[in-house]
Amino acid sequence: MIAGLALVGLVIATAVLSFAWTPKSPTHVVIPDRFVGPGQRGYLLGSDQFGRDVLSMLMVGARNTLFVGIVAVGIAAGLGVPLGGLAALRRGSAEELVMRGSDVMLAFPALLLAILFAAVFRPGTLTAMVAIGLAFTPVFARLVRGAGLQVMAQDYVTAARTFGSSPSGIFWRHLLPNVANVLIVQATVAFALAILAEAALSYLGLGTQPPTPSWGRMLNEAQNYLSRSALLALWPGLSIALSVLGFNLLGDGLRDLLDPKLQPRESQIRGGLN
Amino acid sequence: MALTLLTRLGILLLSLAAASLLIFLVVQVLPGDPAQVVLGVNATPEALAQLRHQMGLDLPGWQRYLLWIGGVLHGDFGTSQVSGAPVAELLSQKLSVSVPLALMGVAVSVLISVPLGVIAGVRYRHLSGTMISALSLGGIAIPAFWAALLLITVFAIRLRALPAGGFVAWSDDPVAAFRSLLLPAISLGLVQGAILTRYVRSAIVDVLREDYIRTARAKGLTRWQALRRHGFRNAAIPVVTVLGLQLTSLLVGAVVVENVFYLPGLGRMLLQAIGNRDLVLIQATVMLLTGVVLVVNFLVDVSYRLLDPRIRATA
Amino acid sequence: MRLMRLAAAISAVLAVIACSGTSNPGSTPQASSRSTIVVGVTQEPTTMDVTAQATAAIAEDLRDNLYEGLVRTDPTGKIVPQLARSWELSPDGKVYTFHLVTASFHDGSAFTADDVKFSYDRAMDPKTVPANPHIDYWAPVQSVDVVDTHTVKVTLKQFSDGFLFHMGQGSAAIIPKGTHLAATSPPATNLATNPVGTGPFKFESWNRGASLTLVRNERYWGTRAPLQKVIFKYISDPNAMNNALLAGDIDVVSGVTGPEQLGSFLNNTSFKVLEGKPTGKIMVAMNNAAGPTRDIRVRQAISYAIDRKAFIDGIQQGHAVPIGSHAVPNDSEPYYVDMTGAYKQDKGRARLLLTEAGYANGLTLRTSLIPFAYARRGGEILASQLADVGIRLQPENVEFPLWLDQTFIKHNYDLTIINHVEPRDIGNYGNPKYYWGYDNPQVAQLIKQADAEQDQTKRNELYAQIERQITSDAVNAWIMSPNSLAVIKSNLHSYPQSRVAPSIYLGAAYFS
Repeated sequence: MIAGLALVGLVIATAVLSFAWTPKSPTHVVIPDRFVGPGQRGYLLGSDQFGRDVLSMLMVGARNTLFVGIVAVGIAAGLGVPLGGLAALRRGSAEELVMRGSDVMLAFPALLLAILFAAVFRPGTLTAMVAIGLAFTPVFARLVRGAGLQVMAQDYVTAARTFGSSPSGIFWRHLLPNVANVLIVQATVAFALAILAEAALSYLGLGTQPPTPSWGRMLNEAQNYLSRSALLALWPGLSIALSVLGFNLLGDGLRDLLDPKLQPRESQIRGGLN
Repeated sequence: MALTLLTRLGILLLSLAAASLLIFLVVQVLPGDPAQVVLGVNATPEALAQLRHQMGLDLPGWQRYLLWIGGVLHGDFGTSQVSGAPVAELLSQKLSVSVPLALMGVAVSVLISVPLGVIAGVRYRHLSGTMISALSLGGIAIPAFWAALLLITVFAIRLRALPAGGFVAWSDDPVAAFRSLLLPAISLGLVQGAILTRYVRSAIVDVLREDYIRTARAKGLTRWQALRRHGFRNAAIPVVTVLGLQLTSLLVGAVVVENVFYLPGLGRMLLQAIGNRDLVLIQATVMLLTGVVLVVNFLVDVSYRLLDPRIRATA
Repeated sequence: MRLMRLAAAISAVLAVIACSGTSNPGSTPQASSRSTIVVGVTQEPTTMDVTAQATAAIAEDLRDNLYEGLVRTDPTGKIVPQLARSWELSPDGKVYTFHLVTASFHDGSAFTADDVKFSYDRAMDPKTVPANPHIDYWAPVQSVDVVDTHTVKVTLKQFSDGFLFHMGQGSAAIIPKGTHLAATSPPATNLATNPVGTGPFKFESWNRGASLTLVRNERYWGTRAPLQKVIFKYISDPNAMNNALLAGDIDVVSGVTGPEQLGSFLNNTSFKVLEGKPTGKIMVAMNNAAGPTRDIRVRQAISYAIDRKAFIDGIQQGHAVPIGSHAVPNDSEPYYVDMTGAYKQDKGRARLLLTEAGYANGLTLRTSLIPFAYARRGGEILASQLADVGIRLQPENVEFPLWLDQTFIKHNYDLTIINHVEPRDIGNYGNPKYYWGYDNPQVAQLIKQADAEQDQTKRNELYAQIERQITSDAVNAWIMSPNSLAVIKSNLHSYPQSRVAPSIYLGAAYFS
């Protein structure tokens, strides 16, 4: 878990730093300086096919990576948690609706949603991440419902209801705090998946659009130039892999740290975009 | 029991109807004129108007919706507005690529994840378990197209053992068809396998914590024996659920791999249809996918209730 | 454990199948023989009817291979006889008399002047369904008349230099007079799924999304093709295309969209890289009628800000020629004049012009970019170059249908990077309704004059005037014309070196 914290911390620190300073401009095109090797002419990690500094692009790209994760997870949790809570609290038809809806969403390929969104709303980071966020919503909804059901079965909750606590009161005071630990774990996993999703979408041209630097897009463009410089693919690929690893490790560590007894079956957590 | 079955069926039909309406609406919102795309930049306004009329685009929205639904109920899925080919034919062609690909991909992922995941789960706190866990984390972080490119470089270019892409129809040469899907399936399966390994591992770990396993071990069985007798079946349930999800999501989700291997699959066709504004084709494909998902969910649901009496009781 | 054993067994079976046979199953069984060629193509046509497709995708595969016209354009852009073995033009330049060859269509019917009349009448008629996307090619035509079975007369309203050239294009192919509408919706002819022409190859099958197969026409009127079978494989991803060539699945990469990857082929003796004449005009098109680009000083500033070499090297790795106006140095546009000296990069001058125009504090310009490499990459380079003079580029990445809708039809844009691939389209500068919104009656008049001018020298001088005028008006900022690039197996011969005409003509190709 320490390793996870360290990696995630590195990403955040880089992103914050990039607002203040980058070695060179990440968007300035200098064609004569194309494919420069690392350490030459002031390009610490080398330059890309347009002569832009790879390190600067990575740093600014970190901003994009965090943005991607925050939007996707924010939407997924922001929608999923209340829905799941609703399902757990109300039961009956509300629960049925939420569960059926999430069934469909769960099996609906997230990629398809992203493609359709891009066609309707123009491709871009925000569009793509809203689509991914929506695709992850049922995961959070299910999680909260599952954990919520367990919480609702506790005696102190029954007591609170008998004494006239409002449903929203129960939600905020009892359900949410007890679900929080699982939510945090799931959030880190979802963060990692969102980063991968953006990389895949960039391959199809539906992710972050130029000239905003994005690790996913850097990786995809580097593919075309493998014969000129294999290193170009290494840096963004490594960055993606490390940040994904970092978030996953963080999630694993958090889960081991927090009370394992209140976990719903771990196998309910969905993952995987491909 | 029969009542719940009927209710479930009713819900299925309602969901299908709701989905069709939603899909229709989304497709209508797509900006851009299909007739313009077909006729290109030199089109005269008269030719455009004529084509739009022939495509039925000048009818009011609700009429077009009813026409579409009516057609589907009669088995007529319409004709592609861009190529003029019957949609049913196009869909079945692409499905003959995407379904086997998805099945093979899932098969590869199972082959990888089950043995690895079980070992990782049983040896939870040991070195081998942690190593496999770490490996699977690494596998998740690798995008499928990386794996694909690597496989192509080694097997197609260096060794010339398998094709770098393309697809030979099953009816023409089944062995060649299988071989052309092999590398793509492995690319997909590697990544899915890494993900699935984690599921299998955690399912095993959860099961190992259950009371009946403790009892079995108290009786003197080893972890392996306890699992064999009681655990695997229970661990299988969540894993199978995830497998089902992976299968349906791979039908379209394989689009990236389809591009790298230029396979004429469902994902690629959908991407092109959206690019061409082939509204009829888009509607039909998305409806098909949603329908498949809903029906599969329905069947899984029903089978759960049949298999596990506990779920039946709490229904 | 049972599971493990099962897994091992399955893996073993898979391994056996994978290693069975060393031949490459990705290609058809005859690919290893020398009489079949497999050509990798990026864009797949949406129909087999060459008179109904707007893009060049169908002409690429089928014009000159399956379909033929009275004339054709050869790889460098010259007009060459085809179904018309010779022709005369009346002194007033209004009447062409074509003498036809003796040939037959793939369905066995004889090719006669009636087929020419049928094809041209059909193309010209605005009521034709489906409409010919290039109906404007026949705008100068007054009537088409059959003189006898092998002679046809085309009467023009007045001499048109462009007419004969356009008759060499895909949509002017001669189709059998028996062509009829099939019972489909939207309407299409029977050619849409079963193309019939007079060419050296005839149609065998079309596997949508994958490939198109042609076989040799044994009864061809001209020289029999050396190759027996032609397969076009549709591969949109440039990496996949290159891999396919390296793995032996295809014999040709017909249009190199990623010149950066030529490296793997240049030093490889199994392959030849063919570089031919430049074709197409990649430019920054500007909205002359609305927005800040309405002001000529802004447009000139943009022209001065651009360094063409950066685009040529950054996008095409040097495989392109710079252009300064709407013409390309190949045989299809003999009126080409080198205008690249008009706006040599001068950032200081650009800033001055912008200040004069009132944009001393900079301005933002919306730029629509379609998903082609030259547009997206060009957008990044352009953004950087314009930023140096104080212009902020706001990129709008749109798919082609959206570009058509927003930029082309509604003129809702400031800048866009686009490649005009059609040769001899300088006439668009006479149309104020064209998406550039350029309205110069003088130029419009010159264009009409030039097309009607029979004397070659006078005509070229008129077009040169037009080029100079549109450049000085900075209607658009022309950047470069990419060289034709293809990669073929080194034992393939007589493959077209240049691709000024879109057609991938394979009637003379053979393997040694």
